[in-house]
Amino acid sequence: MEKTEQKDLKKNIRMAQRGSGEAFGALYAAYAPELYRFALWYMKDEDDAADAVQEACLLAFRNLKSLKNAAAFKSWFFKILSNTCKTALSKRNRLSVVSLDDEKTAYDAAYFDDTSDADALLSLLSDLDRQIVTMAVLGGFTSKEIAEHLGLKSGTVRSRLSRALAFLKRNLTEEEVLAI
Amino acid sequence: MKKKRKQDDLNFVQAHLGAAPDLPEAIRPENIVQALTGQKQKTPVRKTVRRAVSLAVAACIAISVTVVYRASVYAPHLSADAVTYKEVGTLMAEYHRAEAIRNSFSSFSNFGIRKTADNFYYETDGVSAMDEAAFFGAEENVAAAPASTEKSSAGQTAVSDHAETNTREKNVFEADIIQTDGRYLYLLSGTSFRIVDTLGGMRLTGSLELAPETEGDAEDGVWTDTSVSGFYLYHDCVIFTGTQYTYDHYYGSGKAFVSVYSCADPAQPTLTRSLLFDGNLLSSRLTDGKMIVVTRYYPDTDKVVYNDYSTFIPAVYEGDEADYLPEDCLYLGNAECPECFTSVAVFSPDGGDAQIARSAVFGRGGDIYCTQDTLYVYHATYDSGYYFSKTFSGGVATNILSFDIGGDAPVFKTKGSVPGYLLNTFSLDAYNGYLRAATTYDGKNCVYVLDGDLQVVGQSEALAEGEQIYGVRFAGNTAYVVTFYQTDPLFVLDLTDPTAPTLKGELNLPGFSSYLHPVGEGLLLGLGRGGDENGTDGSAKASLFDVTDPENPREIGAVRIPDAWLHEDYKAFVDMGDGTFLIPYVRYLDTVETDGSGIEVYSYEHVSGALRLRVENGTLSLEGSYDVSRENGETPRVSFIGQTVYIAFLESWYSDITLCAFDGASFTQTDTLTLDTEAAYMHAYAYVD
Repeated sequence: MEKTEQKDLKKNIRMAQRGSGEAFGALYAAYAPELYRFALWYMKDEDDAADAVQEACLLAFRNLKSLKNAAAFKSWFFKILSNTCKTALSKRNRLSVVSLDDEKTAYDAAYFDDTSDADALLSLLSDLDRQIVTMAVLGGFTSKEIAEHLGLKSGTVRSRLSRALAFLKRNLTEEEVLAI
Repeated sequence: MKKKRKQDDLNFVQAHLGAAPDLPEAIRPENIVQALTGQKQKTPVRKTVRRAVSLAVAACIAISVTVVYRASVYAPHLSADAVTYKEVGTLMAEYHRAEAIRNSFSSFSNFGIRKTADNFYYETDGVSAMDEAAFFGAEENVAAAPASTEKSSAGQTAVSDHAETNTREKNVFEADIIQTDGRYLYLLSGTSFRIVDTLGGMRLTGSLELAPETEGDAEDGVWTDTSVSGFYLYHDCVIFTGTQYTYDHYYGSGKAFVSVYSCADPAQPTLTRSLLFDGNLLSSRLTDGKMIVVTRYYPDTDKVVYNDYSTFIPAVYEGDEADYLPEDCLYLGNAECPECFTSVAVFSPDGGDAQIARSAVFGRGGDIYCTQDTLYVYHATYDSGYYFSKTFSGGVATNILSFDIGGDAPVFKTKGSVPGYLLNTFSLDAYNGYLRAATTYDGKNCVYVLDGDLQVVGQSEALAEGEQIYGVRFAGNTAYVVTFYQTDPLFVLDLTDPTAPTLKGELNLPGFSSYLHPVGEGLLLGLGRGGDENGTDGSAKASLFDVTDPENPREIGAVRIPDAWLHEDYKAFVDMGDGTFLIPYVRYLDTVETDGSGIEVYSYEHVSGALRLRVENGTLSLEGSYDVSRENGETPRVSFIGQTVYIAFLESWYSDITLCAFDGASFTQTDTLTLDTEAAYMHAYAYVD
C-alpha cells in the first residue's frame, strides 16, 4: 500500500472511530464494489447481498474502536462481512452445512473455448470452491481463516484453493497457448 | 515461496474479474453514511502490554571461517536415460505441435512421451499430468537451518544454547525465515531481512532489502516480483534462496537465485556472490558444505527455436554470462511433461567462483526429499487411466527421480514410480539402501519399499481403507503412519524385511496427529487435532505415544487445548534440548454477542504464541505458553537464546513483525521490538506455499 494511501486510511479510521459517519463512508466507498461482489458471490442473490453488506457496515462502524491496526481494516471488514453472510445463509437455511462431498469436478469435465473472464469461470466451481476462491481473491483471507470460517481443515482449503486457482489460471491463459 | 506464488495466482484471477457490479441504491456510500446516523460505537476494553528490558545475554563476536572448496567435475553419462539437446528439441517440438492440435480440437485430452530403446513415442489421450504443487499445495520447503556459526571470542562467554530449527533429515539443513547464532536473531519477512542484536535487550542492527527498488513498478506492462524462500546461516554468511519473477502483462517467468551476503559485520551485510538459475526454485538444501539447488524451468514457448539449444536449455548466470547445462548432463525423466526441465545444481556457497556442477532431467519435478548422499525429487501425476494402465488402474501416481549428490557433482541415477500420492517430505525415507514411501491412493494407504533402482520390492497391506494419511514418520526399520476419518489409527509397521512390510500394531484414538517427532527410545510425540468419536472437535492436541512394543502402541500422555491450532509446519517446531519443545500455536477466543437491538456483535481476540511442552519420565505436560494477545494474528516462528524465548508475531500478513521476548522460566514478556518491514509478510503466516 502506498504511504499516502496508508495515511489517508489511518486518518479516516481515526475519525470514524470518533464517530464520523462521513469518514466511515469514505473508508467504505474504497471497498464497496469489492464487498458487494464478495457478498454477491457468497449469497447468490442481489437483495440478500445488499442486506449483508448493509449489516456488515453497521457492525463494522459499531465495532470500529476495537480495530487496532489500520492496515488490517480491509481484512477485518471482509471478516465481518463473511460472518454476516454466513449467519444470513444459515438462517435462511439455504446452505446450512457446506458439504465436503460436492466434488463437482469442473476441472475435468469442462474445457472452455471462449470464456475469458474469471466471473464466468467462477460460476463453474462448486459452491464450496467458489466460496474459498471468493474469500481468498476478494477478501484476501488466509487459508487458515477460510478454514476456520467454513469449518474445514486448512490443508483442505489450501489444496482446494490451489486446485481451483490452477483451474482458473489454466483456462484464463488457454488462449495464449502457442500454435505451431 | 508458495504463499507468494499463490498471491500471484490470486492477483492474476483478480485481474481477470469482470467489471464490478453496480452497487444497489441501499448500499451506496452516501446511503450507508445516512444509515449510520445515530449509531453508537462500542468501546472495547484495552489491554496494556508490559514493557521491560530483558537481561543481557552473553556476547559473542564473529570470527570468520573460510572454507575453500573447489569442485567441478562433470559426471559422465551413466544412465540409459541420456538425451541430447537435439532429442530434447525434437521432443519439445512434437509436444507443442500435439498441444496445438489438442487445443484446436478442444478436447480435454493430454499427451505423453516415452522413450523405448531408441524410439520416441508420443501419445495423445495419454497422460494427464497435473502439477503436484498446484494440486496438493506442495510447498517450497521453507525450513530451518541451524546456525553453523563458529563465533566466539576471548573474554566473553559464548551462548551455546540457542534454537536450531527442525529439519527433515539430520545434517541436511533447510532454508528458514528465522534463525539465530546465539546472539543475533536473523529474520526474513517477505523480501526484508533484519538482524536483531539480543545482547542487552533487542536492538535492530542490520537490515537488507532483497527486492530491487523498482519492484512492482510496471514499465510497459513489465515488472518484477521477488520471492525469497528462506536463508541459511553458514559460517559468517547468510545465503538467500528464492525466485525472481518477471511479468510481462501477467505472463511471468522466473529465475531462481542464490545470493550470498557476508555478515561478518552484522550492521552491514555485503553481497559476495550472486547466482541466477533459469526456472523457479523448487527447493534447496545445505549439507556437507555443499549447496543443493533444485529448479524447474519451462522454456518460453514463444521464444523456443527447436534447433537452437540456447533458447530452451537451462543456464546458470553469474554476472551476465549464461552457462548452459552441458549436454552430457541431460537425461530423460518421467516425460509426461516434455516441456520442462528439472535441474539440480551443486556448489560450494563460499568457494568464491567455484564452478557449479549440474545435472538435469527433461521432465517435471515437484517437491524434494534429500539425504546427505541422495536427492529425491517427486511429484504426483494424475493420469486418465491409459498410460499407467499396465500397472495401475488409473488414478494417482508419484513419480520419483533420484540424483546422487554424494560427490562434487550431482549425477542423475534413476526414476521410478509408486501408486498414490505422498503427504509430504516425511512420506519418503531412505534407509539401508532402500527408499520407503507411504502413499494414499483411491482410499487405500500403503507403505512401499523401493530398491536403489527405484523398483518396488515390497508393499504393505492396505491400511485403513477409506481414510487418508495425515502423518508419517519412519524411524529405522519402523514406520509410523497416522490415518484419519473419524478417529485416528496410529499404525506401526515393521520394515525389517524390505520385501514384506508387515503391520505390527495399531492404536485408535480420537483426533489425529499430523506431525510425529521421535523423543527418545520408544517414544513419539504427536502433534495435531483433538477430537471425539465423531471427528475433530476444534481443539489442538499433543500426544505422547509409547511404541516400545510395536504390537501394542499406547498413548501415555496428552495435552488438549480447545479452539486452537498448532503450527503445522515441522520447521516451526523447536527442540529446546532440555526435554522441552516449543510449538507456535494460535487460539481463537472470538465471541459473538447479540446486543439489545438484536444485532450480533463480533469481537475478535486471538491469543498466539508458543506452547512449551515437556516430555519427562514417560509423561507429557504443558509447561506453559508464551502468549501475545491481539484481535488477530499468528506466530509463524519461535526461537530461543539461552533462557529467553522469542516470538515472531504477525498481526496480519501485511503488518510488521513484532518480536516479543519472554523470560523462559516465568513466561512473562520482557521486551518488544517492532520491525519496520516493507509491506511484507512472513511466508509462514498461513503456511507457505
